[in-house]
Amino acid sequence: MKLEQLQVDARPRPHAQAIDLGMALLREHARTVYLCWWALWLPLGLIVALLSPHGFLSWNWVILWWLRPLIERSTIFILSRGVFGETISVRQALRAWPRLLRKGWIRTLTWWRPIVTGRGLYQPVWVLEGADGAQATQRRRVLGARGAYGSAAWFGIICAHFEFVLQLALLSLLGLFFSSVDEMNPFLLLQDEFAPGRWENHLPLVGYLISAGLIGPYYAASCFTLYLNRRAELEGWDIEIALRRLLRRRQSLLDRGAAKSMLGLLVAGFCLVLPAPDSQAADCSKLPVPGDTAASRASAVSAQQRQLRASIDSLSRGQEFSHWECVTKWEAKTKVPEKIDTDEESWLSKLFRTRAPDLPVAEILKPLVITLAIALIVWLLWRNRRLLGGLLPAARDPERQIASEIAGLDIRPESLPGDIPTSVLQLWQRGQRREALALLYRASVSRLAHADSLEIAPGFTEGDCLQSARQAERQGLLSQPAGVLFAEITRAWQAAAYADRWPQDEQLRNLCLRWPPALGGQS
Amino acid sequence: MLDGHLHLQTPEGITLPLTPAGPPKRALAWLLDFIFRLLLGLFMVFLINLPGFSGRLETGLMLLVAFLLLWAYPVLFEIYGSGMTPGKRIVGIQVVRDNGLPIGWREGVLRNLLRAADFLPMWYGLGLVAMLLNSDFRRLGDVLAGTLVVYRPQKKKTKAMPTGTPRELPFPLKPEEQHAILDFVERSGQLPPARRFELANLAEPLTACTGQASLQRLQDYAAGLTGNGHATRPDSQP
Repeated sequence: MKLEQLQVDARPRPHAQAIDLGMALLREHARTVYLCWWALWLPLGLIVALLSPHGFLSWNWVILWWLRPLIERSTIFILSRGVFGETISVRQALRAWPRLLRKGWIRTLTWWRPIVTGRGLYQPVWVLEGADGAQATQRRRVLGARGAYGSAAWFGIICAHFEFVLQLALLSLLGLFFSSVDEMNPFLLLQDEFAPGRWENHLPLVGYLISAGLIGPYYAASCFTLYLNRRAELEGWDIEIALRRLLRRRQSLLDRGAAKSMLGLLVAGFCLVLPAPDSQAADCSKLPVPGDTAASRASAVSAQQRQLRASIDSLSRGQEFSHWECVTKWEAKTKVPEKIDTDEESWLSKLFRTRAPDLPVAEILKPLVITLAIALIVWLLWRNRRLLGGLLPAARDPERQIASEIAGLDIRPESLPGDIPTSVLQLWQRGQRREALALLYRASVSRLAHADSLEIAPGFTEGDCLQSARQAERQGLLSQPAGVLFAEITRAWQAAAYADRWPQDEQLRNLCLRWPPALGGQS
Repeated sequence: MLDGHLHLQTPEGITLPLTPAGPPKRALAWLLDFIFRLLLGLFMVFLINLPGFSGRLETGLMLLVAFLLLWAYPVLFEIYGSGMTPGKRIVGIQVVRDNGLPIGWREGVLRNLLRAADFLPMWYGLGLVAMLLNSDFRRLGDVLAGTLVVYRPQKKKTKAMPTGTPRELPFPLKPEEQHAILDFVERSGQLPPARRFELANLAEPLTACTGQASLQRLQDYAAGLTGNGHATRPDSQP
């Protein structure tokens, strides 16, 4: 058993999740497991069907149920190899099957054991561990502890219900197809008795054969992963795997270090030799020995005092008085509470403590707080007046906010020169093409915003302005030539500003020529 | 490596491990819900019978209650109970979207409407087969609605770790290796003594000693890693 080749995560998990892992494992080896199961299961079913007398036909599936634990052993065998990365062929599994029956099969088929629903957890003890007798009993007790057996037993009960559900589903499906067209009756085949010799008599056996043939491997695989989980938990498999991996990594690092150049060795050696930075701080021998009081004394007044001091010192240096111990220990860092807070608190409390008797703090604060609250409410109302205005049947507020800049261009009327086209052309001829186009564009937007009172809000982009202009044109607020001209100017400006494509002189002159009648308005 | 988890990675690079719940737990949750619905239905029938309505009104009300219990119960509980009907809550599973987000109306309604398909031909036969075939245990409704049933993350019980004197690691360890040391120290009490020492011996290159001493040294490392070791054994030097 090489744990490092384990194909499943060995970390202990709740029993229910361990059971669910069984399906994932089964899915990996589904072909082998199901082929092997059915290679044993189908002949067995055929033999039972042929040999059972007519009166026994609705109960002959019990024989299959009774022999099922022996067939489960093939599933456990295949998965136990598969879980360590060894693939088993169907032929190998079938060859190995008789060998798997050696241990514990009598008990499996006799007294009490067949109706133990959690047997799937115990099967590996006989099949894989090869234990029997007292040892097997002990193993079973250990593996079943901590609720593992309970989980397995409940899982067995649930699986029995799943089988029942599948049988019902199968019989209902057949019933739907076999019932007459006029009355669809899914319960057609769910009867006990049919006329002798009819094929319907074999339905209970067929139903069990199929449902247990689907659920049986699932049950065995899930109980097997529960067993694996339990063993991994009991024996710390995940820890062993992690430790082994760690050691291998360490070894490979060391090996690589050794194989590398001398320089690498030197560096590595240096790193290893380098002492930990804290070790000096914790060195007791370098600390000053406390208790030296000589420095703090004033000079002796008389010879007698000097003598007295000497005798005191000699006494206190003796073994009895100068026991000194240096203790090194680790302590958890205590989190320093935020200092500012405490300071502020103390400052506040100091203020209140000193001033409280003199000042009627409450009387001052109360109106202040009330005023603030009222101001807050008023401000909120003011801020949301648009929403409120929508509720009230009032006219639109006349003081619409007009943007002062669009896309970084100042559009206030006072920032513009008097004769726009002339200024633009002058700038253009002087070679300040960007300035010229910018002036033309912002003059246009400014005119639209102020003279034609288009809704141009702060934060509009060029596209938004254009959209707004088109809308105004559609509503008849803006003349058609003005709209067309504005669109052209916008396009020219955008092409120049963002794509570095400049209009021809002719084109600009044309724009300027059309500007006064269309957008120049009264000016 | 099979671990039964679904590792979803968020755009921030955080991995969310979800554990899809298998058929047994889900069947159990369904059974509990079925019982709750039955009890609720009986209670409603009792209430409807109380005032003495006319026969047709009574039938109408009962049909309404039956409809609500059948179709509205799972949808409403899953949407407003963070993906959990009472049965799921007791069992400890939860419906989420397959990207780990909580479900909304679309998912809740779709996956419960498709119950009818999963129920076919009788008692969720198709749903069970679909669940077993799907790698995330999704029934048809889950596949269509893009949902998953996962185990609810459980609060980790903080186990009392044997304390040691904090000590620095002899060489840097990867996070998973540090976890392994913590795991070992945490679970060493549950391992049989022989196995405990076997593992401790395995860690010899790390601890430079064997047996009990190695175990003690690992406990010291663990205390150093977690920072909650205490100085019960001060290494006093005169």
